[in-house]
Amino acid sequence: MKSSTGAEDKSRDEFFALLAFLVTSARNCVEEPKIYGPFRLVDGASKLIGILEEAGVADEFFVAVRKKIDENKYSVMDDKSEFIKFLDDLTLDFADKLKIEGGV
Amino acid sequence: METFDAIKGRRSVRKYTDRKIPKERLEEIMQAAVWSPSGSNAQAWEFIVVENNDDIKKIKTLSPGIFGNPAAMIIVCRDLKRAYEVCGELGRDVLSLMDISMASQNIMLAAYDIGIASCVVRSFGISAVKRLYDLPEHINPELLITLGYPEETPKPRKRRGVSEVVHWGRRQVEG
Repeated sequence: MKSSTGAEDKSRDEFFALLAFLVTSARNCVEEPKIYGPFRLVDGASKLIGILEEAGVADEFFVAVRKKIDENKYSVMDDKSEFIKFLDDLTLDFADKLKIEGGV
Repeated sequence: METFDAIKGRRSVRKYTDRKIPKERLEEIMQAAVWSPSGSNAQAWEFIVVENNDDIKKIKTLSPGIFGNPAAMIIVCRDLKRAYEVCGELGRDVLSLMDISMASQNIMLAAYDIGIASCVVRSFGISAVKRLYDLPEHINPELLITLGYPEETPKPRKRRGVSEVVHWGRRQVEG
């Protein structure tokens, strides 16, 4: 049997936490306000990028996305239209990235 | 601290420092919980105070609504059996929820009074936390209260004004 390294154990723990977050979010979204669905999804994206950063495989774009999410995600509690605009902006960031990289 | 200052100054804090909370401070806070009012004096509540970092991490893993790394956590539970025995269906289904809510506010105000920040959380895996702690069927975790020394305190959020929500004598608005 292949023995795991400390780094593999750490990654496994981080992915376990992310998966538990996704599963409990899915359960809670049944009753929670509808807008919490997008909030959990985007928060999950931030957590995933956090794991990629820890593993040293997140590029500048991913890091910028994670920072943008963490700076703006709480707007969901104060201003729904501001939160939606932030989500729109995020999707545009991905579109711009695709255009820069070509291929579309 | 004046009571009204605590009421107005408390915020839901989601960024804590690493500093742990002394046991005697937590005991002080829990005194405030048990002095809360309750319907028919049922006191159908139980509180699990979690201080161990590994346990906090486990609960956090099952709680999408927890942000930051709290120094301690309180699992606020309803005792459905006791609530029913004291006050029937009304106690079990309605009053016990109100009672733990009042106890939670007491906890947060008492904590704030001694410089400890808090955030109340309902977004957690209720069944999962119940399983994690092997809680019996009649003990239901309903809220988590995170506690810690604040690293960042948010600005006050918008409030509906007194003139909008308070009616003197009788309600005189349509709808």
